[in-house]
This record gives sequence, C-alpha cells and structure tokens, in this order.
Amino acid sequence: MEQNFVRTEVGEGVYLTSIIDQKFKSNRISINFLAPLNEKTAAENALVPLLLRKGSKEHPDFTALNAYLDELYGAILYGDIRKLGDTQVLNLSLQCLDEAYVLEKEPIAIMAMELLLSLLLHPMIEDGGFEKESFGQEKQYLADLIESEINDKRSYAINRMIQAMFQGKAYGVNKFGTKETVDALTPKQVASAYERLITTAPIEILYVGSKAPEAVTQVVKDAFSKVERQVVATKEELGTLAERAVQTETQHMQLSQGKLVMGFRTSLANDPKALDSLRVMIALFGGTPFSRLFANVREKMSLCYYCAARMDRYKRIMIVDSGVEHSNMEKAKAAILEQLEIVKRGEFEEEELQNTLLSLDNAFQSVSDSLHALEDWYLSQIYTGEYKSPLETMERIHKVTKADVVEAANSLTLDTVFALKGEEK
Amino acid sequence: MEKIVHENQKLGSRYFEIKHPTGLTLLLCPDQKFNSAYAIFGTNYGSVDTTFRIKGEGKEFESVPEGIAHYLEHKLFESEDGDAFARYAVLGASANAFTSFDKTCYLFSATDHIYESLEVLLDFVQSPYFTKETVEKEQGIIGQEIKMYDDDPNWQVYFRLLRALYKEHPVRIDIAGTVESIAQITDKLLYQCYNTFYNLNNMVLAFAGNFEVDKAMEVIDKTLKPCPKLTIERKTVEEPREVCEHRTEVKLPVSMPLFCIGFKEEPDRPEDFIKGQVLNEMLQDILTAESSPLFGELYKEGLINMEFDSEVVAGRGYLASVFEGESKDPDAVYARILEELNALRKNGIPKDRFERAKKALYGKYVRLFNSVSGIANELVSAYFVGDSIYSPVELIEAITLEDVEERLKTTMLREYSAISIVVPAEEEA
Repeated sequence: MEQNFVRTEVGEGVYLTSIIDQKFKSNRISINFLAPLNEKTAAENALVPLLLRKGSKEHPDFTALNAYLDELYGAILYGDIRKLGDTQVLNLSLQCLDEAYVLEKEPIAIMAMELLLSLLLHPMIEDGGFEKESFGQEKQYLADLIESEINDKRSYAINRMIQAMFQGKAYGVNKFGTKETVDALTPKQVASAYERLITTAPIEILYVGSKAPEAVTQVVKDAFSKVERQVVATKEELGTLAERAVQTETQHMQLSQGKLVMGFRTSLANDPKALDSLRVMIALFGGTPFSRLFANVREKMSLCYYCAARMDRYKRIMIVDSGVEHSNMEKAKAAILEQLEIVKRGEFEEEELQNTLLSLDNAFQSVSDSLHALEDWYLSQIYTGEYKSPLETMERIHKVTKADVVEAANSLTLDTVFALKGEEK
Repeated sequence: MEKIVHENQKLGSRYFEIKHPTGLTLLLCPDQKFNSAYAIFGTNYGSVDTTFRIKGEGKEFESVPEGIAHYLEHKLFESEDGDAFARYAVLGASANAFTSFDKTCYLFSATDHIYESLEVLLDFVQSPYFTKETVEKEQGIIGQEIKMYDDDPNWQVYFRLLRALYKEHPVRIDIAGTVESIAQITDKLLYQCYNTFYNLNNMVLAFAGNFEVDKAMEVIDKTLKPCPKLTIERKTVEEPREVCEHRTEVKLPVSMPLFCIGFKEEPDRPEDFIKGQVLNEMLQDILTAESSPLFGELYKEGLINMEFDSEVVAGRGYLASVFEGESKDPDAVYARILEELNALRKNGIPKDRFERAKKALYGKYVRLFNSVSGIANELVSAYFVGDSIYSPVELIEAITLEDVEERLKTTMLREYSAISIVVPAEEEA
C-alpha cells in the first residue's frame, strides 16, 4: 500500500510533511532542525533538544509535564540528536495514541501538537539564558552521553573509525560535540544557539498518522506566523574522497573480544544510478544472512558472530565491522578483503544478485509498516531532495545489473581501519 | 478443527486460535492493511529448561549443559542440503531466531512469497540435522557471541542481578551458556532436546499481517508432520524467596556506574500471570515513572538521568521487578527507592497518580498493536501463559486503586531485593 504523502510550507522555511496510513494505532509528530555540523556549534546545538524536552513557559515543571504526558495515554516525548551526512539534526518528537483508541474522547492530536509547539516556541529562557537548574542537569547528561559511548563497543568502534576517516571534515564531528566543548557551555550560549536555530535553520516537521492533519496544520501555521525567520540552507560536501594510503588506528581496552572496523571510499560520482549500484553491491557483499561475509567469514570460517557491511548513503562509503578474537583479527581482515576481491572479479552467481534484490524488495516494502521507518525514510528523502517513495526506489534498484555491481565493487578502496583490542598480555 | 475467535472491538482487532490435528496450536491474525506478514514458530523451551524427562517413560530426570537451547536454535538452521537462510534467500524473506529464558522462536517477515516462506519455516524447524562435525563448527561462532556479551556492560549488570536474586532457579544462568558448558554439547544431546521440546504439542505458530487464512491453512496442512502426544516434566527447583546476596559489583570499561536494582517476587498462579505482571508494572510506574515525585527529585539531584527505566521480568517460576539506569551513586538510588516504597505503604497511593499510571500503561499496551512483529510476539507470549493478547488492555481498564494497594503489601520488599553494579575500571596507563 502506497501512502498519501503531502508536503506543505507552513512558515518561512518550515515544512510539514504528512504521511497518512490507517494501519497504526498511534500518531507520531517529529520536529527537526537541520544545522550544519561543525566542532564549534555541535555541543551547543545538541543541548537544545534536551532542554526543550524539559519544559516550556506553559509547562515549567518537569514532573507536571510528564504527568500531562501520562494523561495523553503515556505519550512518548523525546529530544534527540541525529547526524545525516554533514548535517546535525536536532529533533523533538511526540508519539501518542490515535484518537480512535482513547478512552475519554480527548482531542489528542491537537493536544499533542499544541504541547510540542509550546515546548518548541516558548522555551524556559529568562534574561537571555536557559533556566539554570535544568541547564546544569542537561549539560551533565550530554557529557554523560558522550562518555558512555564507550559502553557499547560495537557502535563505539564504528564511530571511532568514522572520526578517523573524516578527520578535519564535518562528517568526522561527534554529533554530541566533545566533552570539553560541553563542559564550557553557558546558559546564554545555548540560548543564542536556540535563537539561531529557530530563526535560521530549515525546519522539517513530519507527521505520520491515520487522518490528514488539517486541524494540526492550521495550528502549526498560526504558531509560525509569529516567528520571524531568515533561513540559511545546509550544504552537503558531495565530492569523492581523496586517494591516500590506508590509515590505521588501534585502541586497547579491557575486553574479551576485539572489534574490527574497516572504512572504504568509492571513486563513483554522486549520481542516483551509482548509488543504486553501490547499495546493491554492499548488500550482496555483507548485508544479508546469505551475503558473502556472513556465509564465508562467519559460517564457513567460524571467525565471528557478526561480520557485516553497510553503506552510508550520504557519504557514499562502505563500513565493514566484525567482532573477532584478538588473535584472529588479521585473519578476519584478510578474509574480508578476499571476499571483496571475489566480487570485484565478478566471481559470484547471478542468483546471489537476484536474491539480494529480493531481500531489498522486502526491506523497501516493509518501510510503510513502521512509524519510525516511515519517518526516517521521508526525512532522508527530504534531505537529499529526492522525494521518492520506498516503492519508487525499489523499482529503480531493479535496473542494477551484475556489471554494475562489479563496477561498484571496483570503485571501492580501503581507506581506514580501526581496531579495538584487549590489553596485551 | 476447533477454532476460537478472540476479539477486542475497541482495538478493532481479532485473531483465530486453532488446534491443529497434529497437536500444534495456530494463532492467526490477518490484517491486510500491513504490507508484510510476520510469522513466529515457537517452542515452549528456553535456557531455563535444563532438567527434564518425558512423562510415562519411567526415567529419572536428566540435566543437559547450560546454553543448549540456544545452541540448538543455531544448529536447526542447517540441514543436509544447505541452510535455511539460503532457502529464504530465493524468496526475499527476512529471517531470524532467538532464544530467551523460556522460549525459542524462529521467525520471518515477508512482503512477497509469503506462503512459500511459511512453508520453509515450518519445514526446516521440523527437520533437524546434527552431526559431530556441524556441531563442532558452531563452537567458534557461539564462543564469539558469548564473548560479545561478556564485554557488554548492560548485559553483565542484568545477569549479575539475576544471579544475586536467584539461588537455584536456572534463570540465573546465561542464555548462551559459557565457553566451557557449550564444549560439552554433542549431536546426541541436541537430538534428545529436540525430540522432547520440538514436539508440536509443545509449540505454537503465530502469524500476523498481510495474509489470507485459507491460503495459510493449505500450507500448514501440507507441511506439518504428525507427532506423538507427549507430556514434558520439567524438574522444578525449590527456590526460596530469600536472595543469594543483596549487593554485587564488578569493574568493566564504562564511563559511569551502571545499576540494576531487583525485587524478587512470589510468582503468581499461572491464571494470574498477566494480571500480576500488569500490577507490578503499574506499581513501578507509580513509584518511578518520569511523572513521579521520586523521579523528579533524583533527577534534580543528579542521581539518575533519562536512561533510567523499569521492567518486570517474569516466566515459569520467576518474577522480579527491576529498576535500571546509570548513576554516580547507585546505592543512594537504591536507598531512595526503598524509602519511597515505605512512604507509599504508609500513606497510601494518591488517586491521581494511580489514574495516570493506568492511562499510561493502557497506551503502552495499545502501542504493541502498531506492528506485525509486536502482534506476533505478543501472540506467542500470551499463549504460553495461557492467555489472549487482549488480556493486558482489558485487565488494565478493570484494575482498581485497592488492587494496587493490596499488591504493594506483598511486592517490592526490601528483604527480597538486591542491587547489581558495574563500576568503571581504572583508566589504563
């Protein structure tokens, strides 16, 4: 089933995209500021959604705000920081029950939108600075978030590889900022970051729900008519990465299993056809349980529990990661590169390609069965300016041939290796 | 075939429960508004089922190595002529499996070739193939899976809590076992467990989403193999309410201490399983949800952050109320939770907090119906405790303040509690 997808401008550089689908019992509204990612502003921007989540002039007490969310049937309010290519996405979202399922006929969609707009437009800023107590708490939490990245070894290792691969570039910047920049933040500095976002950042509002949000649209229009804005568009660095020798970084830690992450750059230009080929190639190489990496490095060689490849579509890179015994790391690396050589030489069956396409079909067609997946999909489409539905993209992907896959594989060069190892005994 | 229709009009949802002649129970919840169909073929068998026998065979109880249910899950994907992933691959389905304390589930999600995928699922789970060589090969992969969990501080803090709470019950052992225990697993032992627990009478098929019942039944009738009726006897352990230890701590590479605080509860009678779980969840919300005074205070004092959460851990013969998070001082959080529990017992639960917790919990259970995976997983869980998926929603509406206050008298008691902490390892030189 294809969704009804409508995008309207509801304010200067403020767009509301609504995706209507009857299958869900909840509605989701997500408000996104798009800001250029850079070392100077990453931390101050990151603190903004965390502070907006804490309250507003109409809802100054955190506990009372949460009690109100309970009244809305346990609505989930979330302040989040994401990274799309060179853009830092500052997000505030609310998911609540669809009106059809409430017990007391509350107009819950409007109540939810009004709450979000209050948090977004009337934050607790006094005398040019965020309210001090909340500020202190959220600043600490942001510092905790940065420090606790180490707790999840798999994603920590991937982030370290990306930082090494994109050192000195926007994409290499941590979306939360650094511990040092967070520690130096002041209530005034973050309030001016908020001012900058609300007056200059492109704002994308996504609504996924069962009914066209006409009443909601009007509420948003009215609210933004009172905000003076001069929008500065974000830019993505789209060139190919420069050739260079393989960069290697190793970190030691108290661990029983090592993590190996490899970043590959492509020489393909940034056009949709090349991206499609790359996407299919990477899925065939390491994106499914019948892929080259899973079937050989895991199943045949028993080297690891996971060994997978993924694409970052904004940066057009391939990331391969695996959890392996420290002593097997070189062996795993050689095995991964050997499988890549096999794909480069085209020594795979046409059936592998067909099966990979089927698996991608399944993934594209399943997007519309999840509120989160729909939101991620359309935000990404808006970001790249493609505005394609999952099914349209799926049709295009089917034009990828074996020769395209081989070409995409040959465009890849190992750029950076990051290894997380146990302490030397 | 006996066919029961379960329905909830408010949710606009219904499903069919069918007892198939082979002994398998089918739970079919078609909904063409979804693009995908999601199937789970599950057995009422998990990591806690380590000592058992078949009724009427006149044998003693026998114990098998820890982690064998999970090992079996990995090995079932292999057959004499290739693995199940390859069979799914030509259909485009996305397949997986998981083992928990008390169940093992094989699943797929598909938007095309739905019925062929169903056939693959039913067929491979009914076709075991274990040899000495294939069993040995898996030790490397599962060994790495175990080591991955060894390095996962969230996993460690959780399992160390269960080991602190439970003295005898096998919920205290790791689901995947240990490198040593899985070394004892043989093809013969796998067959023994398979032939006991993968009997269709001990299993269920849940199917939700975009499919037609008649077409699914055709595949099911064709693919299911007749099965001897058998009754499994699981050795029950005498588990006292007393905990093993009240506090446990380990050093790992983390930035800030992680904690899990657990209260060991008296398991409810099987017919009250879901009610007991819902009551405890509601009490946890009243106590520490983001809207509670305690959460607000702890947050202000910098003792917890937004990572704080609570859950009920329940299964055959175990029930625990767990609070988890990050804190610079986990012992202080533990003390404050105990204090607040005393205050609620002494002063009673404010009505407005009860009403809010009720609405929030209702919303949480309705949300499960947003996805085919949510529906299918709930179908299996509810069935194995002898209930319907609509029970939580219906029970929540009926729960009264008196029910919750009564429950608080016997639950979340200090003497049956424990805290598990992971503290940061010192920085290396």
